[in-house]
Amino acid sequence: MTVQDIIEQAERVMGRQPESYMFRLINDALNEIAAKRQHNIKHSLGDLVQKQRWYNLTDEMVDIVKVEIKDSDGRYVRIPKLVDPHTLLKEDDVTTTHDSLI
Amino acid sequence: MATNKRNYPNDYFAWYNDDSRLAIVEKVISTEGENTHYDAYDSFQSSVDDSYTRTVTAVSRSEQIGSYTTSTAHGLVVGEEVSISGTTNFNTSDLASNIVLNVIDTTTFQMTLDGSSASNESGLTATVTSKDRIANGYRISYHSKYTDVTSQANDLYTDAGLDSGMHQYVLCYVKARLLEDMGDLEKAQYFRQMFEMGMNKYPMRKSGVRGLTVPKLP
Repeated sequence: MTVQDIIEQAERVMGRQPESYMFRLINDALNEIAAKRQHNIKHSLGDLVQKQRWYNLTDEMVDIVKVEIKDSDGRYVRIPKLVDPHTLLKEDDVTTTHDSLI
Repeated sequence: MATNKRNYPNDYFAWYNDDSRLAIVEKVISTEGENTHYDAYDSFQSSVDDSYTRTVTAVSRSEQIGSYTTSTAHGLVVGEEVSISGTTNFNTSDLASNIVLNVIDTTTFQMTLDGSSASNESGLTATVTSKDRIANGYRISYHSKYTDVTSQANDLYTDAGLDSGMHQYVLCYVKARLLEDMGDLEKAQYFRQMFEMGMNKYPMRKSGVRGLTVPKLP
């Protein structure tokens, strides 16, 4: 179904609507579906940098499913999520990381 | 057969996150005599695999500063350790420091040379290798937003990424919002419920794995 199909069906009942507003409503629907269903899984690669703890997440990322690290065979191996990072971590300081922990 | 399954970078990594950032840490393991200590997690500090490389096409010198130009964005930062090869007089052995001195722009960075007489070089296919990072060293799998539509010709499946079985529910949502604008809350609620029920009913599994059913206990 195209955006035009959606608009035509909606306007048949509701009357003519501004095009930009219809785009806004359709995009709002897509955002709500993405947030509630979490159906759309994507993957993103990034460089692993020494002494860097934090890596930015993009706005399109609703929820993280898993994180994998590339091993010496070139394969991606899943790594666990820390349940309680505040008790397990060494504190960030200038000698151990380039980024500060907020 | 896979080898080196627990050598770097296969040591014990873990992750956590806040709303806008992902943290990747590795377990710090230290040895004291015959005892091995598994300490807390800390930022990744193990050795790298020399996988992060860029092509250097030219080098210009000003006093003891060498400006390296790359063919594509180098991604390097000030303070990053690199090695350089493939030039005539501006390789790693010609540097006073292996640390990136300045980043001029996305394709130019500067290093401190150990001499001040080498001539500029161009037409190179030299290599700069980061000693501080692993190219594509991590992969995040995430639930993503759908791509915004911007044209009436956009298809909700091919352009936005929404399964075709859910397209009708987008129409329900649009109708609900338009009816809210018109003040007809009863009809708006009807289409809103159609939207919610449709989303809840739509099957999630595409892997072929059968779901578990819990039998009713007597």
